[in-house]
Amino acid sequence: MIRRGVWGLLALGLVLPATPAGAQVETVDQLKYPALPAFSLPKPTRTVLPNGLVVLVMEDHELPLVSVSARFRTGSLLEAADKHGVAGLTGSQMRAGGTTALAPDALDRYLEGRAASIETSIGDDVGSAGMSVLKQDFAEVLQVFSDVIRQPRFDAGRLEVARRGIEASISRQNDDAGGIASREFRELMYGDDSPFARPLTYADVQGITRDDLVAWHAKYIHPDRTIIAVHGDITKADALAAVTKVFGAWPRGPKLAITFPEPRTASMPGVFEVVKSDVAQSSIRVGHMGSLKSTHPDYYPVAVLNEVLSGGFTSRLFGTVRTKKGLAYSVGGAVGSGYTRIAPFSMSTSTKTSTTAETVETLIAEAKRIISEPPTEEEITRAKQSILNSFVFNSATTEQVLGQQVTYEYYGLPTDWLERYRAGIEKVTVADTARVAKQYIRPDQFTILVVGPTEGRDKPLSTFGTVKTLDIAIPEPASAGAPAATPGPGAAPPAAGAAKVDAAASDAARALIDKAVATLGGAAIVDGVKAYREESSVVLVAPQGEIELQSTMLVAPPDKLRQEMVTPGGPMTITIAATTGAMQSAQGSMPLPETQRTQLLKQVQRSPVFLLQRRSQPGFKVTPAGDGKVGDTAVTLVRIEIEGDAVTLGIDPATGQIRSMLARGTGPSGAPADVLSEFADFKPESGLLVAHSRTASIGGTAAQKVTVKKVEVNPTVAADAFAVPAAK
Amino acid sequence: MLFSQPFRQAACAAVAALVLASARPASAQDLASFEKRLTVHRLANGYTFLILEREGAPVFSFATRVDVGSAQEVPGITGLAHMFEHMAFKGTPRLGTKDYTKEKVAIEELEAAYQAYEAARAAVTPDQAEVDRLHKAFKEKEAAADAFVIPNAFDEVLSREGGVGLNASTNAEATTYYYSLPTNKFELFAYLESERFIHPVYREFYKERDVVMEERRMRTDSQPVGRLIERLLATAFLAHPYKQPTVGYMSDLQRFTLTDAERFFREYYVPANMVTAIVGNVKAAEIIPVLEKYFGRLPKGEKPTPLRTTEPPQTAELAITLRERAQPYYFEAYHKPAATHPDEPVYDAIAEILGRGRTSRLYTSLVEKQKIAVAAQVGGGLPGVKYPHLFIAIGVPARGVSNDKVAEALRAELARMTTEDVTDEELTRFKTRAKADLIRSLDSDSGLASQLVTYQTLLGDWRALFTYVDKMEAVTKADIRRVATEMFKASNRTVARLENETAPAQPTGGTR
Repeated sequence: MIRRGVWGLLALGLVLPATPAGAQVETVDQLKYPALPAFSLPKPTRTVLPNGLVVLVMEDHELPLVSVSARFRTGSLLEAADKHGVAGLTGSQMRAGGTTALAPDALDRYLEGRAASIETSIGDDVGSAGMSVLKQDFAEVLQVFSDVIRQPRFDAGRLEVARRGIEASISRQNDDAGGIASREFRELMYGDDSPFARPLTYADVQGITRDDLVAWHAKYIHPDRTIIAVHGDITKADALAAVTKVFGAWPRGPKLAITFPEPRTASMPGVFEVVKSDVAQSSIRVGHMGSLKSTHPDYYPVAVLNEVLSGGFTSRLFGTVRTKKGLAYSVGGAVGSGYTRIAPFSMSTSTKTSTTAETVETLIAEAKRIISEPPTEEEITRAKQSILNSFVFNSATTEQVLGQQVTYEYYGLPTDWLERYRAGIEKVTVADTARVAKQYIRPDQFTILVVGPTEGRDKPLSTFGTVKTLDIAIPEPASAGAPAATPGPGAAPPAAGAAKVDAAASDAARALIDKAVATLGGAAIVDGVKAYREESSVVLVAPQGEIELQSTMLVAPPDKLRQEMVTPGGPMTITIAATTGAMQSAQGSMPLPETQRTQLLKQVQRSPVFLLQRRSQPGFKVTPAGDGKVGDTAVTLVRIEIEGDAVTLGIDPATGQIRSMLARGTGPSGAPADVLSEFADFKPESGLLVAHSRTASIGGTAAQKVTVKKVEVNPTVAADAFAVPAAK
Repeated sequence: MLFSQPFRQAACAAVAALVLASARPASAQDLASFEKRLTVHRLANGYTFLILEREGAPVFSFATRVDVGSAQEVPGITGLAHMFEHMAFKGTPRLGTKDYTKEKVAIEELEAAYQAYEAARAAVTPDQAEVDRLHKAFKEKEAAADAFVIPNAFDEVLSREGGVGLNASTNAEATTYYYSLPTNKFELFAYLESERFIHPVYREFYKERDVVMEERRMRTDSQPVGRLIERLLATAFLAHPYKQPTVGYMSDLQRFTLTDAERFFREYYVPANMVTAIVGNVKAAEIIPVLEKYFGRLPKGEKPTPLRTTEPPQTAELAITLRERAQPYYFEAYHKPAATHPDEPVYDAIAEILGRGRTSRLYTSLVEKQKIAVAAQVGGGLPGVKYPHLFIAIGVPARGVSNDKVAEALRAELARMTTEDVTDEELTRFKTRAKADLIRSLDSDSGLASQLVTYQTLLGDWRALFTYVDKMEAVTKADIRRVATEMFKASNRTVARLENETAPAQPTGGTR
């Protein structure tokens, strides 16, 4: 009954205390420890079947159990933007959706009746399947395991159950402040349009069909890209024979080059907040994108650095934030690194609202201090001792050793990775940790994120810089109210209950919209605006610097626009009339690309006056979206959906002024991005209250500043004002 | 230094109960093999050790269970059992101090200053200027005492010597301390674990109290479900201290004192109230002298008086609704007897058939067929199992589905347990899984250590870990009908709803 493998003659039992039996021990320093007996477990055997399947086997006969795990080279990072969610659903439905041979409920009964389990999943860069079974059921259940992997049924009813599960998670994603903080921080680190942080939406989930799952499975699940590991009460020969029997005839897949994307290397510095007033704490995250992979030699000094900064109860962060200042229960932080990709440096904690700024300051101070006062010889020794003296726990069981070998195999790491790690840690010096602290922690690039109530903070967040409020409203699918793609038979119409809730909830938001209309000038003035001309000075903030231009824009909604600009490159005129558009410059006239035309028209239709003119249309949907802040003004967020478009307005409940608007626009790279516009300097023009200062930013970075110089409401419009010249 | 959340506690207790299985040829055989390798050793002062010898890597894990939890608290000191658990990491007179002689005086002065401040602010008409002055004086004494502290020295020694998994947890009925070490550091374990309970030093008490308040804010005050469970317990229990939150009420956390903690410690941390299990590559014969040498120093003490209050039978259906800016949750709770009751395995069967896995009744009905919920959970153990407690059923509504709809479907499934027999397949599955669960639970040293102390403390004998499965094997369909009928009565029910505050108001009260 050797539980953790072979160590045969070295089994000397307990190492007796070396302190003389009668001696009275007063302090820890008087204890003397004998050397730890040498101990090592064998590595698993590795076999490659003719179809390319890698099989690792590790025996362990203590308990009458066998487990099998598989890893597949796939992951959600490989998803196309319009198929977000397909990997995760394929992963769960390989098991939940039954097999060709066994309908899902039959599969459930088969496994649970044997106290066996099979589960499958696909994560961001790996797919997994696992099976656990009593020894006597091994051969039989292994066949079912093979069916789950090779011949999943992808039952439509189960897919619908899974969709509902995900939709419920999405609807609950703003109920927990810590969860919001982690999600939003991830988006700020990786970019919310990247596959590393892209949030899953209702529309994503509804857009995935059974065919998508079948296609994903067919593309990625093949023996030549799979590792199978067997562990437990079975001999190596029997395990290999059983695996060969059920997986040996599995044909290789077509050639496919799988390359996982790399995260961006720079994150979005700045101060961000999410207003959540129903909690007692601020959830805080501070950090920036990092540049380290765990295959780099700096991984070792960084591991020691992390131990000093945040390694459990003895670290600097714990000592200062929790023990010395009593600011938080839980605090953490580390220079991150993945096996194959870079990861952020981050620190996290949560504290009562009245110590928010103090805690942010303390985190930043500790990050700066580990650079200015790098770990001392004593701290390094302690950290190294902690890592090395507990090293035996890294490979104390056969499960651990097998699991490590599977990981190394999958990521292409050397099989002696752990030995290298130990050697690497032993060599770390004070100079190393000082260097890596400076290299991998960059306080000037910090993103600071606070989620919690705004009332009652010790200092405003603006102490740390210009604060951007993030909109966490959960986007409804484009066809709001439409039921999910294919509701299963007998399913309740999913939107019915939600619609009822929304209707009751939107009353307050509706009232606020009415107030905004009144503030804007009243219904008569607002509805009477048929055309609008505005002269303004526009500053575009581009990576190469600021560009200033003068603009005169004449608009007559819903679809007419003329904009004359004086740019550093000369004058330019854009004309749009319904479905035609042109751009004239010194170079001549050319048709306006459709995307630009629709984007410009959308901007016109989104401007407060033209947006609110449509408030009585049947499809004008108003939903409350929480609280926000513009500068120091608290605003109520109201989400408006109309004609397939959606914007979130920030309305000052005290004045009814529309202070901000968040909407999907275009980022600097041309990719979709959330554009936040903020409005200020309100002055009446012919009874209409016009914001004379408008700024637009993307992800916290300023993109555009508009200063209004002259406004005409319902100007005389020349007959040919919107005539689109033919291209020359 | 975690305290188990009531919710997680419930889940764990349910799992622990299910885990009590034996195996086909196994139960007796496993017990025999364990009996051979397990030594029970009781010291003269009443301290009990369970030592389980296992081969393998030169490491061991231990768990110490002190038979005290928040059920031993009274209003005014709620949260103190958990607070003491935090203090047990603050070191000893010889660990964590620059000069203990001076520090001891400084801590006494600090406590005197705090008591003066506390008395002033508790006055009928507090003199604010005086309160402020005394608060300032207290903060000065606190700074003076802190000057002697070497922070986190206890953790540091263990971490430096290779300790892993160092932590502790407090729940409604027990406080458990645990970690693992390489075997060559066994004496360090014996020295430190005895020292921390022979002479605890209440260092940084009031700062640690701030930390505990943050723990409460994080786990309860900032979590809609945390707030709901706190209210559920307060509603379902009329008299028993299970109604109190383990983390404590905020007002008590703001007021209890170092002196209170000392008094609490002296009453409950006596050897007769403590059990430690040691599991790993150790030999009992070799470590017993070490345990005698170090733990033998603990003064004997009296076993604390058992809790007197028993919860009276519930006579009225109770219901609460919490309106929050969060999505709905639906809870039903029913009173059930303590884990020592002969029907305990029947309750396990009911929980399992209703709520465990994809074949369970609630999952197939609510999640799969009706598609009105996305998860359902059932089990006893809220907030503990030592005294009569609650059996809960939880439904998590799907998006846009009301609690009412989930309640109706859930109630129908509970009722079906009282009107129809369960199937042969369901009963067999329960028994098969119980046996397999036992085998799986024997895997890790640390898991075994904590199971052994739990059974030893609750049932008086660690062997129950293996024999309980025979009781599960004996459960019949008639038992299930009988117990379900007793339990699922309206007058034994407390309904707790978390409703979205923007949802239209619904009549509270589950009676129809």
